[in-house]
Amino acid sequence: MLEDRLLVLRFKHGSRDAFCRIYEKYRDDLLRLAVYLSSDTALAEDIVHDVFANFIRSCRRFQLTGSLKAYLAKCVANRARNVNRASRHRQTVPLDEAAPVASDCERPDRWISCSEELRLLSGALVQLPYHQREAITLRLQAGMKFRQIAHFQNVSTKTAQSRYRCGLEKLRSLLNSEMAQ
Amino acid sequence: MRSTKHIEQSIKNAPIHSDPRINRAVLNELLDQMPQAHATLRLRRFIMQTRISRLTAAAAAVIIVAAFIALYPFTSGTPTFAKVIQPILNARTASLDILIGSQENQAVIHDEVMGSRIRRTVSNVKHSDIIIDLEQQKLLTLNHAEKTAVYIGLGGLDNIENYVELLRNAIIRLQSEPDFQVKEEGLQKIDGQDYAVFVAEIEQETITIWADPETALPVRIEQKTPNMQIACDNVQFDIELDESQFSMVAPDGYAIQDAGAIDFGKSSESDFIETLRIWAEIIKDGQFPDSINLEEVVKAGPKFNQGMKQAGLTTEQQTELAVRWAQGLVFIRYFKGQGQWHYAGAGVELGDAEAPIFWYRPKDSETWRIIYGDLHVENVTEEDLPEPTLTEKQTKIIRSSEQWAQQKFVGTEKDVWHITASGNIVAHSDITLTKMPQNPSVMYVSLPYSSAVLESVILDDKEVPFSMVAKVRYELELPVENLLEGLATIECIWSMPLEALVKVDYGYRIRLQALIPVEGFVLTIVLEPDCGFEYTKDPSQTQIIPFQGDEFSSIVMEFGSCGLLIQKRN
Repeated sequence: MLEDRLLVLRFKHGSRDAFCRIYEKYRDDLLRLAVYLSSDTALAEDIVHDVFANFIRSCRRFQLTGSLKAYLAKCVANRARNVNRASRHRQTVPLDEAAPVASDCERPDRWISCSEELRLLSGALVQLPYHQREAITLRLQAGMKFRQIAHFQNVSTKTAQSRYRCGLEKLRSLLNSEMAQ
Repeated sequence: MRSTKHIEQSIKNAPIHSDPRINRAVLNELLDQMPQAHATLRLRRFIMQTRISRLTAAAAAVIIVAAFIALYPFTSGTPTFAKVIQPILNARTASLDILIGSQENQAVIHDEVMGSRIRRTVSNVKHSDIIIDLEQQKLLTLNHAEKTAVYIGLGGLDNIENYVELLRNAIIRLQSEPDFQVKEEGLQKIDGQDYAVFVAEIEQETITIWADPETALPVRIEQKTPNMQIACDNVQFDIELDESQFSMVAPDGYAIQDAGAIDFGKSSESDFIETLRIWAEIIKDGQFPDSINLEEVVKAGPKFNQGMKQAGLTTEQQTELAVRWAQGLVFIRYFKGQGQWHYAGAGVELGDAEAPIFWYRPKDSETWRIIYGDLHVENVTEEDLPEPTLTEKQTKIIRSSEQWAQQKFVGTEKDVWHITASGNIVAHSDITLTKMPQNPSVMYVSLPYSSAVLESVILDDKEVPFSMVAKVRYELELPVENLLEGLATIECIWSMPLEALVKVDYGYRIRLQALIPVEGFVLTIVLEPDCGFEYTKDPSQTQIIPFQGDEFSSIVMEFGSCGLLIQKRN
């Protein structure tokens, strides 16, 4: 956390090295989070790229008040929400009811490739209501506290906890039934 | 079957692979979107059209830092006494190590002197030598790795015939002071050899000289003020030196640069502001330095060089910028204002228009000048001057959780010693950390007396485990998380018998020593009601403040001794 604060300070003063370090440090975590939230690697790549690009654009006015990782994760989650919302409008099918999408279609210039485990988890997560998926991934991937997730989702802390637990239980059931098949 | 725990772990750690080639491409694309470092942009505005025809040493800045010290050690007086002065005055050559401040691992400046010329090396400046010619008022820096030679003028200096002359003038000036006193402290052993010790005191300045009792030649000269500590060690006179090593002619094959001059007669506020800006932008990543004392200048050298490279300056621009930085330092080194100047820039970010970072009173002025964090300047009356307290300064530093490259903790210490009925001293030492290593884990404390025992250590109302690693030296296992959150006041409780103090006719003599290197120290003595002692003098003067962190403060562990004026109650 301390290192992050110093990195942000240097980044705000135009240090390219500091930005490189931030990018290297959090890139994979953010990509994983974006994959979980979007269930689409190409979309996830765009989300993370855009988050970093926005981060650069806002560097002068950016003020780090908590964890940098949580901040970037929230940016990813916000962007994923917007993307999902737009996608929902296009499809006119509620996201929560949408069928799982292929999560790692072959592209010649793909940035990321998901492991079998990641693909499996992402496929299961996409079957959860979006707010449960978000609560789980923000908690586990971004290390956010329930209080922070509640604030982000504009619900009470208990609701955030409940979303997390219910989602996780459902996920367990989905994964275990898949294994049983 | 997967458990919930297992699923949680899987979500956290599911492998993802990103293509390194595309990682790099994405990063490059992002970096292209990055606004040019405004440090660099501003710096480019600093750079005037250069007079330099050839590219020169990349390490020029560091060399200039080192060279700038050339005129420090003896400018404020290094005395000696009848016995030890003569060899100095008669000497044709000399060799000495100069150590600034009291930190371990500090840079050591090694000087060899031949008449008016000095050949200087600085331990944190690799592959480089500086030759200073006081008569010609010029210095030559040689970078042997890059085969470059940079000439820098030293304008505005008084006529100085040679280095020893400089020393003699300082001695004469000091000895003519009415309060100048010399004490002979007898013999003291250094590395098994006896040396005669002289201590000269004038106002708040103490100068100690260790001299060979046979030859009367001084081997070590130490100058301490509340703000600075300079030691000249391994002093030798009339040694054999190779004259060719003092040549001001660049060796064959070296690229030559004339980098202009540092004018020691010119000390303008605007130069100083430029120095502060450069310091914040290049050396401190947008923050002003913790202090602007000489020790900080020495430490800043390598970082300055590195910062200029990162800012993308050409080597010639680096040299010119370094001269500008040094020029501004002249303002505080040869301060011509009235009274004292004050620096309060520690932890302040460049651009902070609210934070006063430096104030001083120009000569013959009724008002003071305050420089703020955005480097604008205001005139204010004395009543409107800011008054930074030690606490404010510390809070700032701790809030920014300053970590530094050195593997040691630094703080300020407030001791309260209770003299108890059982004839013991129970000491509570509150250490507020101001600096900590990059990877803080264990902290070492040393108690000041061999019979002292550490009883307990408390941080944030919790006991901190500790173990003894040597006599009076303990290792504390600090909870790192608490430190990083800024909970950095550690209370160490230790005790020892009162009789451990040296008994003197007026009471006891207390050795003043902190548990860790400190920037400030306060000691308060409390006589417990039933302890059987009473003060022999005014009991309101039970607080001893050997020094309190200010803009000059160096980091020290020991600061002499003081008397405890108590006697057995009748």
